[in-house]
Formats: sequence, C-alpha cells, structure tokens
Amino acid sequence: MIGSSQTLNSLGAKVVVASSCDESHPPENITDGNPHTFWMSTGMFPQEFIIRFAEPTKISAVTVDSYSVKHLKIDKNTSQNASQFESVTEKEFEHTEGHLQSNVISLNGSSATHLRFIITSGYDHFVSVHRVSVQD
Amino acid sequence: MTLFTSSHPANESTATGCTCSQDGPIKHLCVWLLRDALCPCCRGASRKTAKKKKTKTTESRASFSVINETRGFIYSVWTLSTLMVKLRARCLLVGDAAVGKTALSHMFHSDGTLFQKNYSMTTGVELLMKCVNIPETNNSVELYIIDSAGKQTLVEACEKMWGELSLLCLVFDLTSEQSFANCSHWMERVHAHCHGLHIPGVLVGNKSDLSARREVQVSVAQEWAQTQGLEYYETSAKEMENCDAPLLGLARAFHSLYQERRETIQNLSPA
Ligand SMILES: Nc1nc2c(ncn2[C@@H]2O[C@H](COP(=O)(O)OP(=O)(O)O)[C@@H](O)[C@H]2O)c(=O)[nH]1
Ligand SMILES: [Mg+2]
Repeated sequence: MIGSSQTLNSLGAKVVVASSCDESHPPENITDGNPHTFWMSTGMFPQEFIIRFAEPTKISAVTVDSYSVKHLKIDKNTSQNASQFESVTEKEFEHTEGHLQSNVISLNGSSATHLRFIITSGYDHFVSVHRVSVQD
Repeated sequence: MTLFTSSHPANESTATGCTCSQDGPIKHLCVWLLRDALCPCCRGASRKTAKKKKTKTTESRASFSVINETRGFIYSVWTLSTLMVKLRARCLLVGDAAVGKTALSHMFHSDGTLFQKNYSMTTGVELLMKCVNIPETNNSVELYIIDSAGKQTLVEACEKMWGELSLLCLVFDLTSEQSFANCSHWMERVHAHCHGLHIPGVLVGNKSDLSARREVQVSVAQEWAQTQGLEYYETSAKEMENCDAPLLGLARAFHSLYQERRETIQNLSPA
C-alpha cells in the first residue's frame, strides 16, 4: 500500500473553480468524501474543476470516482493562484454501466497547491464526479 | 428522513396530508414537506386535523405512507422548480444549400436575446449563441448554434468544425423534394460524426410561406421525422413564422435528457 487515502475536506482542500454548476449538485460534492453526492457537468466538453490545497501537498496518487468520463487530464501548480499550470498526466477511463468508474492515477509524489482536472471527453453528454481522494 | 425535521407537522406519527389543496396537491406538499414551514394555505390547521384523526389510526397511517412514498418524487419536483441549472449545448444547424439555414439562424436572435455572433467566411461555419429559458422552471439552455455550409464541396471542411455535438437542427426547403430526400444523407453523416452517441434533434421544413410551391406534405415529413427520432416543425424565416419553436423544442429535449441522466446517476451504485 502506498500511503493512506484521505478525503480532500480533511486536508482543507476545496474546489475553487468548476466549469458547470447545477445548484443541486455543486462542486463541493467532489471533496466531501461521499460517493453518493456528485458534481455534474451541464453540457459540452471540455469540463474542468480546480482543487486548491491549504498548503503545498505531496501527492503520490489521486483516486477519481466518476461516471461517463472518457478522458481526463491533470495539471498542477505550486503557486498561490489558480494559474500557470503544468501538465502532469492524462488517462483514458473505461466505460461503466450501472456503477461508478473508479480510477487511481499516479502523480509520482509531486507537490501541488492546485490540481486542475480537465475532462476532455465523455461517453455521454453529461458526466459526473463523485469523489476525489488523494494518497500521500 | 432528512427532509423531515422534528418541528414539522408531517413528522408526527399521526400526520396526514393536509386536506386543503389550494394550489394543487403537489405544489402544496412541496412547500409543506420540504420547507419545514407551516402549511401555506391552512397555516398549520393540518396539525389539528391530524390530532383529531388520532382515533382513526389505520386511515392516518395509510396517508402517512403515501407521503413517504411520494417524497422522492416531490423532492425532485422541488429541486427542479427552485434550484437553477444552466445547460450548454452545441447545436448543429445543417441541411442542403439555400434551404434557409442562415436566414433561420438570423431569425433566432431577432428577439434581441442573442449575446454573441461571430462570422467566419473562411471556414464556412457561423457560430451563434442563444439562451433559451425552459418554461415553468428556473433553468435555461445556452445553445451554441453552428450554421454549417450545405454546399457539397464545403461539407468536408466544415465537418471538422462541428466538434462534439449535443443537438441537431436539420433543415430542408418545403418547396424542394430533393432537399427533403437529402435529409437522410445528412442524418447518416451526423450519426457517423457522433460515434453512436444519441443526439436529440429537430427536423425543420422551412419556407412555409411559399404554400403554392410546396413539394413536401406535412404528413410525409412528420412520419420520416418520427422514424429518425426527430421532432418536426415548419417555419418561415421570411415571414418570421414559428421560428422560435424549433429552438424551444431543442432546449426542452436537452433539458429532459439532462434530467434523465441525473436520475440515472443518482441511482448508481459505488464502484
Ligand atoms: N420565401 C422564403 N425564402 C426564404 C426563407 N428562408 C430563406 N429564404 C431564402 O432562401 C435563400 C437561401 O437562404 P439561406 O438562409 O442563405 O440558405 P442556407 O444556404 O441554407 O443558409 C435566400 O434567398 C433566402 O432569402 C423563407 O422562409 N421563405
Ligand atoms: Mg447559409
């Protein structure tokens, strides 16, 4: 096992930018550690959200629980502002039917204050993200 | 049980649905059950009603379970009618050359709600943005309409600009049998472009003002539209007849799709 998995809320992390907002499925649902609550995109691609950590945080991997996401890119920075990102990795998710996708994405222990998740395409018009957790 | 709070009349084991139904039972229950407030029309009289009925236990239990069962439904009605969603859809406007796509797209924004319009001669694609409100909700759909040139020689180049489509507006000329026949080719092209993803859409027979020259009958167009899963509309861009209807149809279709998907996602099991 690599490190321990922590919910983002317990690390003081929160979503500071999201490209879609359905008021009944807000982006805070991504960081609350609960796979039953979700943020949902409201149409078109790409879609993105940015998570800010309280302080620079070493991350070996992130786990993303989602639905209908096809391709995800992750960028990071170590700045106080949500700008000037460098790309870290990208991954093609497998399609699931009737249950959530769960993907572990290695970030090689890089340090970050912001992580930007860009969903470049989906298996459907709308995608949802239920939980993002990090392994240190 | 999170929707019920202790101060709520419906929380009492003897509670029944409020017997007054001024605004219709659904709206009434929405306000009453979910807002933790007194019933808006009887001002809490239902509580008394409930107590009075204490002796008739079977009846009150039955009503209570009805409230419980309908709660999920009521909750979704409630969220849909109060919380705002702005959807975004990329809508392809396509059909043979000269059927009136550009004329129609200019009508779409004649009511002044167009926010942005860019014109690009080189690519043969014009992009318009139009925001459509979904009646009886706080929700709206921003339609990014791509007016794609219909000329055969330009189609290939234009298709590169279509991108990932959300909606389809397929247009033909009611005075041209050929433009209607070609709709099936356009459908094939769009299907191939979308790699199997279902795209809600409408079929529009334009130039309805030229009734003497009509070559395509309503019933024929309607029937074909149905086989393709498209809603059918007739418009006249020239006379500004019915031009908003296809847009509203598209926005509604996308909105229902969103609601369906949201429902599905709500019922998913964990990974
Ligand atoms: N009578 C009539 N003519 C129309 C109508 N809509 C468009 N036209 C005419 O049809 C021609 C082609 O229209 P246009 O919008 O450029 O077609 P597009 O190639 O599909 O974009 C123009 O001469 C328009 O004035 C309509 O509803 N009625
Ligand atoms: Mg044109």
